[in-house]
Amino acid sequence: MEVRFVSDAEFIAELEAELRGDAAGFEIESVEQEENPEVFGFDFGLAVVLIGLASDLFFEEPLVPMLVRLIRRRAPRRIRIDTPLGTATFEPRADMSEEEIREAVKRLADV
Amino acid sequence: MSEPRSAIPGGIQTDFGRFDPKFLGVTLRIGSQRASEVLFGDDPSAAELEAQPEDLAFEAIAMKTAFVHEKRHFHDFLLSPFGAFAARRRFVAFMNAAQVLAELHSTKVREGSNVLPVPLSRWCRLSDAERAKRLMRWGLGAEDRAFALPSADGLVPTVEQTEWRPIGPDLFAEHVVLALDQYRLLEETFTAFGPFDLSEASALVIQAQEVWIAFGEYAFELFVRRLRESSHTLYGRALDLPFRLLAAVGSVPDSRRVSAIATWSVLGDVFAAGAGARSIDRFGALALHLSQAGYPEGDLGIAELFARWDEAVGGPPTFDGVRASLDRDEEFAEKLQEVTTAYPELAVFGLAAEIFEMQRLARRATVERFLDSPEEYVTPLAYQEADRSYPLPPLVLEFEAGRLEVPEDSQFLVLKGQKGVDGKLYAAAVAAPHIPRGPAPIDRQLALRQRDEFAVSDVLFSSQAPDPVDWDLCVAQFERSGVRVRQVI
Repeated sequence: MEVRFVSDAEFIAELEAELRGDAAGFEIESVEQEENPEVFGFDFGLAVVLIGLASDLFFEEPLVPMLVRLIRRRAPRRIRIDTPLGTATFEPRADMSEEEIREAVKRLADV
Repeated sequence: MSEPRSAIPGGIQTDFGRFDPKFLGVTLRIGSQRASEVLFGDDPSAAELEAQPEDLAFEAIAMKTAFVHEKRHFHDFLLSPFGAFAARRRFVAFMNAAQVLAELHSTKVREGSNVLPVPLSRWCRLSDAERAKRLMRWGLGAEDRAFALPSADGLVPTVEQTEWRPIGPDLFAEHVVLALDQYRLLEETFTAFGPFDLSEASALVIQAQEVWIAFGEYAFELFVRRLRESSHTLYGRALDLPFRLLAAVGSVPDSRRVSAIATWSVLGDVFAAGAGARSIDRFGALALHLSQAGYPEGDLGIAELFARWDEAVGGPPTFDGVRASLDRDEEFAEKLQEVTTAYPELAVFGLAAEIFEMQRLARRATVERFLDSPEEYVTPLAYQEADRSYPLPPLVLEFEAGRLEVPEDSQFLVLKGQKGVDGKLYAAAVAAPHIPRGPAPIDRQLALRQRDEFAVSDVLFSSQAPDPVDWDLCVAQFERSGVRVRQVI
């Protein structure tokens, strides 16, 4: 399944490092700076878009703990995630629980 | 630049609402349980705000005054020639898109299909091989079949859009291409006339006035300072433009002056030659003039001030452009009535005519009030005090985190929600109680109908990534007829 992450450059760089590591079932296709972030509902100057292919397992297993880890390290102002099944946009707090993040991304896959 | 007194873990909410012309109303976003408690709770006193960490105090005053901010966007949209122009283009795009939408449900076009790839603006430009690759990635079953949609790559619509006649399933492919082209024109309108920093400045200066009225000097100072510190955001940039300009020309950046610069900048006529209609171009031309002539001192009224600036930048009179947009609206409304009468079987024409008429009357009321008293519209305090003289926008509340418990006797209209295990009704989106008032009352039901219809049309045709709320609406609508919508990334 195709997945698109949109957030600030620092968050996407950290996400990319995680996805290139031992995260199961994700293949990065492109990482590009978005020149028109307002297309994704972002009001700040710079947004970076990471597109890749994920297996269903990615949504069941590594995605949520990975987001929790990254957000606790540094919460970006906004994260947007698109899949063919839907869109999740949220302004994360560093103290968001795993359950809250699972709820926020629930709509992205039939899991 | 001073640092916040303290920081709370994680982010605070930074985007509290939106005005999107697809809905003749405004929307507030409630991003956390905390923001919900702030919005529905009592107003904090000045002392309570001062005792809070700055982040939380800022979030509270911004949330509490967000409606005033969005309402100014709503009135600027009704007043500006650009707003009127963009609205007419949107109605044309919608009337074409809605016919395609109707055809997608017809037996002939559907032919057993149950998977709809969106947006069509992307799908219809993919090659057969690219489409096949995506269908494979979506893991469709043997019983699944994607709609047969035409390729729009490099095609120019051959159907004359100005005829506005029903087309029917025989010309479905033609019509898809035509609707895509209308959406392209609509999106180009915004690209051509953006960026919209000055619109934000106009709304922020009104919001800042409201912060002062409701919460006092400390809150006002905090609100303006925090915005100006966030120069990486649209809001920070927006407020910085007029503030810096006034400082550079040695003038006091009071709210009336900031508002005058922002309002004059956003009222350009899209049909006029010369200085053009882009607010940022008008602002640039004005900045050049003010750098030489300075900001006029004394009691110059807004009508005279705007006339002086029009002459200085070599553009047509701003007020003439505002007046002319009413005439163009009237011509458009007549044309809509004609096609409604000519094709009574096509419900979308009648619906578009009804919604446009509501919008036209609201626009006329706003423009007439402005022309009668430009001073009132531009001066933040006077505008706030004359609130009842302008159309009141219906309000939608969206809960992105958490949900609102809606009592059975509540006047909130639940747009999205479900009953909890406790039997109570919980909403993710509601329309607030609305008492139509003012010179051109806006019907909440009709405005919400517009919002839903335009939202689904946007998900199908816009090249922009879908709004999550619009996406849910679209998915739900197609699910009712057994069609699954898939997003083309």
